Amino acid sequence: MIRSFASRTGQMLLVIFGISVLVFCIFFATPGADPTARIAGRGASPQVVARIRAEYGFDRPLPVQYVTMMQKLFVSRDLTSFVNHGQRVVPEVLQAAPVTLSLVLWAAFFWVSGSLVFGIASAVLRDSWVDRLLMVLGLIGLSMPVFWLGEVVNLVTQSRWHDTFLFRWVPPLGYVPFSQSPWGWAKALFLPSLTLAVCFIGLYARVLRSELLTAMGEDSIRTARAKGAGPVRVWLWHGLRLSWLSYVSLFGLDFAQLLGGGALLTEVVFALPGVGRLTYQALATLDLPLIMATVMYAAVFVVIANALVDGLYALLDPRIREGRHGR
Amino acid sequence: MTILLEAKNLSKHYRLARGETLRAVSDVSLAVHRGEALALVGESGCGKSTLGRTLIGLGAPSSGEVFFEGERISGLSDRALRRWRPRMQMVFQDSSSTFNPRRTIGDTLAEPMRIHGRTGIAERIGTLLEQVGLSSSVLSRYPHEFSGGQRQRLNIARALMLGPELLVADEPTSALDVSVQAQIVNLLRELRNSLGVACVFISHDLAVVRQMADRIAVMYLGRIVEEGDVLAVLEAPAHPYTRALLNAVPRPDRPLPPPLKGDVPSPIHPPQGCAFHTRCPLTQPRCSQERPELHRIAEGRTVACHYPLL
Amino acid sequence: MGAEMLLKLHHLHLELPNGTALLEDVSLNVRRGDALGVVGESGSGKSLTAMSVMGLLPGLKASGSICFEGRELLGMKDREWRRLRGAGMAMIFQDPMTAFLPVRSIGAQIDEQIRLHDRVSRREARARTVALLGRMGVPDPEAAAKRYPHQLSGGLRQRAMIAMALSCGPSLLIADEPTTALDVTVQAQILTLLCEIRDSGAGVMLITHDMGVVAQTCTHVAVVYSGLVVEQGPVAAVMARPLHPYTQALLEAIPPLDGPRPEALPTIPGRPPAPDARPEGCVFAPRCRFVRPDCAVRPALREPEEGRHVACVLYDA
Repeated sequence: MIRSFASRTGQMLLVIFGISVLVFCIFFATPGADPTARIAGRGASPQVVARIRAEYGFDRPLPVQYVTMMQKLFVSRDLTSFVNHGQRVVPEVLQAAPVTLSLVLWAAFFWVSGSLVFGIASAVLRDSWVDRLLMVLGLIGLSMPVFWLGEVVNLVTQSRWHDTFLFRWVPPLGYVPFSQSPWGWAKALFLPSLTLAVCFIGLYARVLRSELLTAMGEDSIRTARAKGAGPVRVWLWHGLRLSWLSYVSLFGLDFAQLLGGGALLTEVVFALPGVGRLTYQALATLDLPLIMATVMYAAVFVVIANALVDGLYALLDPRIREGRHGR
Repeated sequence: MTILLEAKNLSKHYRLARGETLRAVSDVSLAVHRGEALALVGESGCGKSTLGRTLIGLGAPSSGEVFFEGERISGLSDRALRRWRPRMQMVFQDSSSTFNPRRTIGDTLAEPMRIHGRTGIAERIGTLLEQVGLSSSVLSRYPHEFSGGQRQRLNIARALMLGPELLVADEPTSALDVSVQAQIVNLLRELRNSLGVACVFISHDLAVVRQMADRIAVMYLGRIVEEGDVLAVLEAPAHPYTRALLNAVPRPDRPLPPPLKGDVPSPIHPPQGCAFHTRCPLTQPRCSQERPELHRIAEGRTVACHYPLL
Repeated sequence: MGAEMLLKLHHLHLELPNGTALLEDVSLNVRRGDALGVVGESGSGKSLTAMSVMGLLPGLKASGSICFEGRELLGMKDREWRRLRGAGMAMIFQDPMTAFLPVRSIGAQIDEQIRLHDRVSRREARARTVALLGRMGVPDPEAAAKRYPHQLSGGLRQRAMIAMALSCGPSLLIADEPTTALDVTVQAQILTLLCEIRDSGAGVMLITHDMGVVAQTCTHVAVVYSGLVVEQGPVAAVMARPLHPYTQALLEAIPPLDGPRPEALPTIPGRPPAPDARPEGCVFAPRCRFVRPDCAVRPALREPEEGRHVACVLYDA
């Protein structure tokens, strides 16, 4: 147990290391491009460029540059954005993280509960009109671009029908920290997270439906019925238990990807100062240190989430715990 | 009779995770004579299938050697083995998965001959289909259109296409119903008589083996525990395991015998001494300490037991 | 034969929604302390018969009568049937590996069945589970209850499956090919266990393709062919002198284990008809060596001798 935990942690660190090297190479070791000038931004004075070159060690060998960079990112955390007039990058990312986390948590809540309801309903009522309707709705949700849907939501709730009783409660665009007002926080995130969740509900409901239907054909489900278990128990207790695995792995990856900045479009559309919007800004201004920081942040999240999913897997399926696959 | 295939001290071990070793086959020596049928019997996990595959070069042995007509074929590369392949063929248990569902029967049957660049494919297929009792109208059809018994006939025809001298059949009848099983048993016996092909039958069914084989080798946990003429061994088994196996066969003409206790031990951690001593009704102190070697007890009859029943 | 009637199937007929009949006219009896072997080849409908007694065939149309302990099951509400399933009648399956939920310990799965039918605490349920496993010959039952299906050997898994089936004291145990996935030495152990269960007074319905298994564990046998019962009677009598040509052929096709070795085994030509292509007359006629013109009318199941039923024109007086 401890051994597998240690080896797992080691693997994680190795992957993060690999990603950091890769990211570093892409940004700083691309032949024919001077990283100094890129960090300094457009139209920087020669003094600034010289200072940057000395500070980041761009006149020294690549490994030293890499170590300097990582030291600035993770240890002293004083990587500075020159485009943004000396703003420190790491605190900025850390400040944006809670916003993204709140948004994604809410969205996850909506898409998990939504897809559970839709997925189970259409599996139980398979091939009925309810099933077909739900699957068509899911497909529509899946194929609506999130930025378009967000703009439509904004149009409807912020201007067109804002003054009707339906949307009077909708706060102006932006974020309200939980510490400031929990109610305000919830209200500010409700529509953005629902918008973000829509496409996931469609996808997850489909996955759950097909997994559930496969599971219901298993011998163990027949056994459950032979034991005298009722339909609710058979579907929810036995069926779900067998169909969790791909759902959970999909969820882990999507969740991590969103936390790492994948909610970019939603954040931009709803003016939420999260990691995604930060990345968007960094890209718009070619702010190299900020891009570096957000990419590393995203990588760390994806790796951690992967490890958590694997752990959850082992909890859900004893066969995986012992390193056996299949049956 | 000349020896066609011979195995000397053959072992096949599999490395598992956590540094464990699964000893599927340990130190097996046997010989198959030209035209003879040898049956490998035992319960699941005894290594009979692994042995059968290793014998014809599907997977290299961990140690030991295999000779075909006196020439060593173990340890050869796949390329070098290709020369021997037409002379040794295999029939698998599950005939539904050995045929490609998207290719016609004719296509599948012709393939081995095409690969080895033979000519006269059409005539050969015609002869063989007649021998396995099918008409040539099957050639344009697909595997799913056939019943289990017919597919097993086609499977046998496929294995015979290149005119092999040795056929290894892994549980050729165990997926079939009794009435169909009897047909396939009869067919294999006929073919053996008419073509003179030597056979290794891998089976857990003693009654089927008795009907099809000349000699029998009983395996337990990777080792041969008894070997001899099939009628003689089943008439009067010398090893307690053979006797237990024989008694356990459910028969319409006798009552249920008291069963052997316990399960087959794991081939990862086989018991010390005689591997069977944990379940043997006649076990003695010596059995748990010293492993009995195979020794001759009569003409053409060997047994690995300190206290054989004969 | 004064024993109490437990299960009586009377002219059970089962069809697909498109009208293809899977079972035609299956009539069987199981008394307390009886073990009825239902023998047939694959596709004969023997498993379907078992599943329809359990009421586990939604989507198929059943007619006729299934009478269990004096109650008619066909037409019963699923709620009531559910109360019987697992408590009054229980079933064990061919492959205990897939029949258990792979992701929960076998103890938890047995506890579940106990708590589905009896109001007992978790502790009490577990105590019963452990006691049952012990009675089924599982070594160290307490530890075994905590293991997952894949951690047990095939034999132990099937013992656990039987323990689960017996957990609520059913009066009828249905076993669908319970030993087909097991080795012969382990098969003998499980069959011995089934005999003990039968001797303790429960009724057993054993579905199998193996005449040997029936002969060694059952008191009665019903031979099923293409969705019909063609012969039924006490095991000893049927094995000694099978009446129906199909039963005769089935027994002859088993290779002998002693005596002279025949040059060729007797076989049955052809193969069983598909459910949608069943002959009008006797279903076995196209493969029967005694076929004659009056086989074109389907023979009814008659009782030419005391206790022995057969559907064949040879025995029409």
